[in-house]
Amino acid sequence: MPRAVYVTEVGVGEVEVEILEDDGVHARVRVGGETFELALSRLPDGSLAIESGARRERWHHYVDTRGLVLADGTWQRRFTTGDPRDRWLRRGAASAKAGGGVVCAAMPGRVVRIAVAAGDIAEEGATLCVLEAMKMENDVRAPGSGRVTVISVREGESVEAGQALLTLDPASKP
Amino acid sequence: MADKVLIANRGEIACRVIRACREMGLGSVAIYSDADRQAVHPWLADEAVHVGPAPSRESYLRMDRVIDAARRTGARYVHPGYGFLSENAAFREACDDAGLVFVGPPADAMRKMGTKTTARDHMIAAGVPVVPGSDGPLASSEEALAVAQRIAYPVMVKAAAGGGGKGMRLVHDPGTLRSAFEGAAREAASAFGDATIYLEKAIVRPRHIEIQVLADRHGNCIHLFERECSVQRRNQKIIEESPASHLSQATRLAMGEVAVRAAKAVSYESAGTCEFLVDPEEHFYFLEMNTRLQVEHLVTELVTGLDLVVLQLRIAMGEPLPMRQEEIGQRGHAVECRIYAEDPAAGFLPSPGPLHVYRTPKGPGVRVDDGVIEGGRVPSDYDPMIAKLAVWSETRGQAIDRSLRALHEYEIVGVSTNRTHLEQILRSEAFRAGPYDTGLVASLPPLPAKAPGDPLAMGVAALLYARETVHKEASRSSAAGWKSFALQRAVERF
Repeated sequence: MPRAVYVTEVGVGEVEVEILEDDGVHARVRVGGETFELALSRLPDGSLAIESGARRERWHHYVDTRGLVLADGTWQRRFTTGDPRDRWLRRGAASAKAGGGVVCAAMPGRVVRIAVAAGDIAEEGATLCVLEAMKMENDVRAPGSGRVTVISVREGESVEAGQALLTLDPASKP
Repeated sequence: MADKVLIANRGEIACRVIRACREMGLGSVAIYSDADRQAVHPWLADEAVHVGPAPSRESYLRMDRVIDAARRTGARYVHPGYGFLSENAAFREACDDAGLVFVGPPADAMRKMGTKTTARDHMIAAGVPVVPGSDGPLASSEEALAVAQRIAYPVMVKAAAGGGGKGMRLVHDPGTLRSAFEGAAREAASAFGDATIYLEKAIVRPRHIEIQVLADRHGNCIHLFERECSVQRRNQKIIEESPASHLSQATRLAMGEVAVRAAKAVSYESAGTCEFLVDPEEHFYFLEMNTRLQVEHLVTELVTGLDLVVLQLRIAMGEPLPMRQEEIGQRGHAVECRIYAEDPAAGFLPSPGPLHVYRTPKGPGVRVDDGVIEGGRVPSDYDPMIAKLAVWSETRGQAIDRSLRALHEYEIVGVSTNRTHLEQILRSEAFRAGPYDTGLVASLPPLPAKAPGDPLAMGVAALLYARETVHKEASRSSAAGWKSFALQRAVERF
């Protein structure tokens, strides 16, 4: 029985994947209008063995609170699904949607300096604050122009990856 | 009972020293912070002592706790590794006072070489060539402007206590000197607790070549030839090699002779490294001396066949150097790649986190010095370097090919790494052909921000998800038994 799964690759977009057949190893799927066969199984070390047409791949995967990650040596792709029963993946989708004007920490670290005050207008690319992680200072820059409405952290505070640092309102551009 | 060595460090270098201790029949004592409770080094050592919470200021940098750990475990030697307390003369003295043998140079040599401005004065006095500069710390950005005027732009603004590229700025014109001065001072104050700044003339298209020296306390001092460390990103070394890509034998020997002279001028003891800038005409200028084991000591070990950590320990035990200068040679070629937890596709942002998959390359001529394991973490509290991949081969070209092969086998999933960046450098014509300078990395095109779309990956993601939910429903409805147990186990791995 064919089954449709909506998969979102973070940073790329959502695609409908129709699973036409699947015996647990061999499957036939339709991805964005293209139908192909693939064999997907697990190697003894937990990695995925994938064969499809001329392609022969060995990938790794893991699941965390932000979804599923597929990786080979050179790239990592992060996925979520549109299935409401999926608690991990739903959480990932929700936080991606909240992204709007909220500037989040890209990595765990410590806030060394906050370069703006609530009410300031920040131009795109302007330094909003400075995060220190692994002994290096990294500027957090405005993804677009806007007015700083909320500052959610204090100087000296430790932050987690994904934690909101401040909020920019793009509507109140100068 | 065998003597014990306390290793006042963490991660890969702690593991490196513990291995040398075990080979020498010495006991080893590790120290660890809260963040490293489950790390490799505390469990590789014979004993381990907790020294405080995650921030290094409250653990690995706490001299009192480190010395107390040595006392409590009856350690006789303290090996500081690199970073942390390794170049801290006060720590060396505290070890002396506590009756511990510090594996490194005397406090006096550390002080003379430890501050770049003081080191410069001593080197000028010893007849060692140095880069023109401010000849001392600068009181203000006004003074910096005056000095820069005299030695001519471009100039380097540097933190006296700096290292690893921190507190360092290249300035091309008077307009940006003030902000560079202030930025470097702030970074130096937070990283080293010392905001002293000095100025040097910037050498155009410089190569960074360093000489390894070894000195015992009986007045013997030799060099182990050079390492080229010109592959740098923001003054942070990424790839090192020995021998240098192109260097005349005359320059090589002259640099070795000068490095030995520099070490002797401060009555050096143990392993140390003199860093030089080399211009396109092979003029070389003393930059600084690192009074400790270097991160990249592996390439020297691979081409000389010597074990630098073992030699450091033997020197600390009072033994004379077991070899003469004439007995040291360079054989073949070694290349080291530093594997960092950082994301080259996102501006090299540090990428601490879990190591879901961590598998190191194997095969001929490959050496991996690391301090992490699969299932472990790269903590955000310390340096982002995960491992060093060093390879040896007969020729430079083969060593580069072998590095690429080994990088291809390296599997790290969970954190982002600089692997694609390393591959880009190793494949570049500029690196392969040589000579190259410290501008190499900046001259390469930016890496693609992300992998191109792949329907196969989308299909795999959807299948994994569908199979998992189907299995969950199936196992919920079926009776307990081996079959569903096995199924459940398979599902848990997803």
